[in-house]
Amino acid sequence: MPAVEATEPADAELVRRALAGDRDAFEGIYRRYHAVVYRFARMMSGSPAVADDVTQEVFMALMRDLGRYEPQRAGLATYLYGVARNVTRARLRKEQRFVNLEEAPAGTSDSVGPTDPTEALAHSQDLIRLRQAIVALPSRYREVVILCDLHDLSYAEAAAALGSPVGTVRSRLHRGRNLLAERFRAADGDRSRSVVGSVARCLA
Amino acid sequence: MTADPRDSGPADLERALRALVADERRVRVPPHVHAAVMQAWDRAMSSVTPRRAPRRVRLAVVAATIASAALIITVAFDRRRPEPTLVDPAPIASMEPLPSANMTLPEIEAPVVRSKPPRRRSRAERAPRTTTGIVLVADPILDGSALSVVRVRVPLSALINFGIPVPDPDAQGSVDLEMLVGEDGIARTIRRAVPVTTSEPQE
Repeated sequence: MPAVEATEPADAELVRRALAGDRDAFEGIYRRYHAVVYRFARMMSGSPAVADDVTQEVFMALMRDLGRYEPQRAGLATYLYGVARNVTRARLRKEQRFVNLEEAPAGTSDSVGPTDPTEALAHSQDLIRLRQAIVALPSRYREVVILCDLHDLSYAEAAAALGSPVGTVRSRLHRGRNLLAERFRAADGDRSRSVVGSVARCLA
Repeated sequence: MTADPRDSGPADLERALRALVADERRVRVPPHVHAAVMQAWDRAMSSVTPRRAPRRVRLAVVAATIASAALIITVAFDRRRPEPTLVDPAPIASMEPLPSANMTLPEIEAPVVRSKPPRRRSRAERAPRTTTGIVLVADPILDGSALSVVRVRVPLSALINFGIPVPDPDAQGSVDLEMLVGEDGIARTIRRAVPVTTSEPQE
């Protein structure tokens, strides 16, 4: 979740000003939270294009329903995570878009990793496999893994964003991590077999 | 804000997750998303402005409706009314007393306004007590501007203001006048005067 500096206006203040039609206030909300919304949608959908659309829809929904946001009930980030989750699921359901593992996002071009080309390749492949494994998780596990393990939300915050009890979040996270470990290992095994096969073909 | 310590999992998965978190933090949102969102904001705000002024819009519609109705009524009235034709204005020549009122109204010598086609007069209008004629109240309109017929009931004493001599300014009673009023609101002529008869019992 993005850290808010002391000199910056609080979320509630930005919301109040945006409700009064202050464009800068709404833009401030966008600049503060667009990245987390985009990354959440990108990881949930596995598609940068869907993440673009979801981010737009989330902030359009925010400007439409800004008056319904109650700061005393949840933080703005939690609220936006909830909206992003609903919009993403609705988008994927509507388009019947099944995640294509071959097109899973490959991450940033300037990823920090090992300087050795071989290690960098392995590092990059690890990231790709992990992304693919996350995207392939059932959505109820995928969203808690993304929120808690990648976005560092607490159980309570994730529960508030998902509208689920904390116990449900804990159990789903446990199950999601196990599934993720299995699939990550399976993908690693596939990769090893693929490498062995490639070497064998080269030596033949 | 991290949750409880993660369940024991493969070390490589933990390492990969940490690397993925670092990689994700470097993801940048395409600038066109920001542009699209703020354009949507601008559109929403521009569409809010008319919504904030429905009262003004309604008032404008009501005003336009009233103006249209007034125009329609005016046109319809003008069609029913004989179009006045201005002829040479004539000075008031003489005054003759009204039969029932102790006053005088001018005798019509030369018509200032001639109506076409002549309006059929009712029986009451043809009664001998009715005095019909033209009294020049203000400068005539010579440019053919439209005139309106205004019927008013005024006390006899008010006729003094029109320059009509009234023998007994203190006399009681009223007179129904038909005045031709110009577009500037100034009464040009009195074309008809009918004393109001009262049904008071005579002693």
